[in-house]
Amino acid sequence: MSPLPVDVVSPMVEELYTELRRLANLYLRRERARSVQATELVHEAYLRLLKDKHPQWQNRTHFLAIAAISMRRLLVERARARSAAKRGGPQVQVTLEDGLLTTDAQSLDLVALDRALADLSRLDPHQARIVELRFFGGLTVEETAEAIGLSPATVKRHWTIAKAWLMRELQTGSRA
Amino acid sequence: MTTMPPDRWADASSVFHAALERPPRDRAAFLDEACADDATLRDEVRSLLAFHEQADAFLDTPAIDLTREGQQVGPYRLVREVGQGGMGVVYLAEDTRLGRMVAFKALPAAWAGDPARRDRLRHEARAAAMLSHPGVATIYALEEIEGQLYLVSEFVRGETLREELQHGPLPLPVVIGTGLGLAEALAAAHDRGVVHRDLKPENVLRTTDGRVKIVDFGVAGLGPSPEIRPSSGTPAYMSPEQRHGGRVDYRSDLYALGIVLHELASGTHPFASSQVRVPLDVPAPYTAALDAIIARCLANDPADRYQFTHDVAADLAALVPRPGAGAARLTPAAPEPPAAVSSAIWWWQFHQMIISAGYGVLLYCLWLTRPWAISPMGQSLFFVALVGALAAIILRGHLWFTLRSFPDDWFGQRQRVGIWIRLADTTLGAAALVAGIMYGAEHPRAATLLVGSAVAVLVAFAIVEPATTRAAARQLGPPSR
Repeated sequence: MSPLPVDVVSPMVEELYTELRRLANLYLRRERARSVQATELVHEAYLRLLKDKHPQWQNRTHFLAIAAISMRRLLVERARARSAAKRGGPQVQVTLEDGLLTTDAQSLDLVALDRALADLSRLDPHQARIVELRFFGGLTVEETAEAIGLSPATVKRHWTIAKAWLMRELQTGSRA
Repeated sequence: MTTMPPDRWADASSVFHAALERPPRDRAAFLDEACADDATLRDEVRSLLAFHEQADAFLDTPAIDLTREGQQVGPYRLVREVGQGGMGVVYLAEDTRLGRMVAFKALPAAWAGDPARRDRLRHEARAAAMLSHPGVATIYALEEIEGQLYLVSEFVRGETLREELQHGPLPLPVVIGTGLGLAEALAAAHDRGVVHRDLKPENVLRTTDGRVKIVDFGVAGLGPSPEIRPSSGTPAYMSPEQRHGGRVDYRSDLYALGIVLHELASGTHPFASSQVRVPLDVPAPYTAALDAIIARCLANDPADRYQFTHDVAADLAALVPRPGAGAARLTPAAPEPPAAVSSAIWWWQFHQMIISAGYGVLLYCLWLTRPWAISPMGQSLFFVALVGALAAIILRGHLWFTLRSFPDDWFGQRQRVGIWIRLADTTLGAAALVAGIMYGAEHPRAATLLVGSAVAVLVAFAIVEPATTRAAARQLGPPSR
């Protein structure tokens, strides 16, 4: 499977992002935040988009690749809103992230990671995309390789150095 | 903080990976050598290597948890993971269309991409889905969802034989009961031309009521072909012909059954230590009988194994403890040699042939004596007898062939045609009786013969035949649904 061309990807990301956001807000309003799972959210979005019969949504890896970008946007947006709410006052809303994010991710500064990823994509767009797919999309090395059209070995090498670079970026960034 | 311009990043990457391939203590020297005239590059890579040490688990867990539990795949909602099968993870799932619980298995991704294997899988699944036997976990569907293949089958609650074996060998009555259950299930499948190909303790579940169920019928062995099968498969249960890429038929399953039986009885794989089969360490009276069954299953040449799966079942059935023989003790089958096991079936077949032959002779007598009858009575009488005899013979032949080729259908067929056989017998008997009475005055000897034959026919179908049929039915075991 070849990677999707950019002009196809952007509208898909936009569409999925809108859908995820709408669903996330819906869940929050229903106060089901504690029980909502990422899988549930992503899959509900997926099923909705499938129902509209967009042919490009038919492949699981394509979908996950798109979902990774959309998820990154959704999670970073919510992280920003959360820190703003914390600064703004005592009432910290029950957030979607509690149910959505894995424990490891909850301890991460997603806003800083997002910024670092933007910098990394200027150094090497492939590496930034790999991190996005693996971390925000939950794709395996093999799925990532399929989604961007590289060999799994290359994906692994990119992933290793990208992690080291991002780690340094986050640590030195927080010190500054 | 971006220390490197993009055009230098590729250099940094390659030096970084080259350094990583060296043992940690050699890396500093390597960097000095590789970046001799470029201090910026060296410092950058050194810094990245340092952070690489800390970044071990960093970002390895995705931000969102995309475990499949709770996931909806097509119409299936995955409830929980129930096991790691040979072919992949098995989930308990709900089929939301029918509202029933199913076992849901994602087949290796490579299978979907290989059209030849996918077709074969479809073919096998279709054949296996026809199987309906209490000893076989029924295959419901082979689904293709989002380009991924899923096998949907009956969900069986219970432990695998592998799990049971972790507590050591099983008690002998349990081994024999289990073996009988497996042999009957295999026989039902083999009757329909379905071969399992990967029978092993992992693929057999014992339900809470003690029955065994074989899973993944016909599909489990469809991984990579035997020649290129990776060691993650189960060569330990493969027959010699499977290992050598030869023609695989139902007798390969019998070989695997032999290994499983040995393992259940002794707790060890027969070829665990060497290529010499370890004799069973079981109580003396059963050693010979069970060991003989296992040895015959394990014959290297398929032609030396059982040629009829029902025979394995019959041999094992002969070892099953009989009621009244004591709860824990087995009744040794020693006085009854394995050859005598299918005697009831043999007698039934013999009986059918004798009856058919007798009918032929009776018909011939009626033909010869036809001119004595008051015309046109004789002609009609003969034709009535002819119809009765032919129907009786044809229907018996039908049952006989059913028993040979589709033993599982025999019960149903017998129920269906039994009444017609009796009707045909009665017709023929009645014709002979009428003829005998009619010729009585003029030809007393021929009349006696005819009346005697008629009585013999009636006695045969009213008393003898039901007895041999019942015995044969017992021998075949309970009818399978």
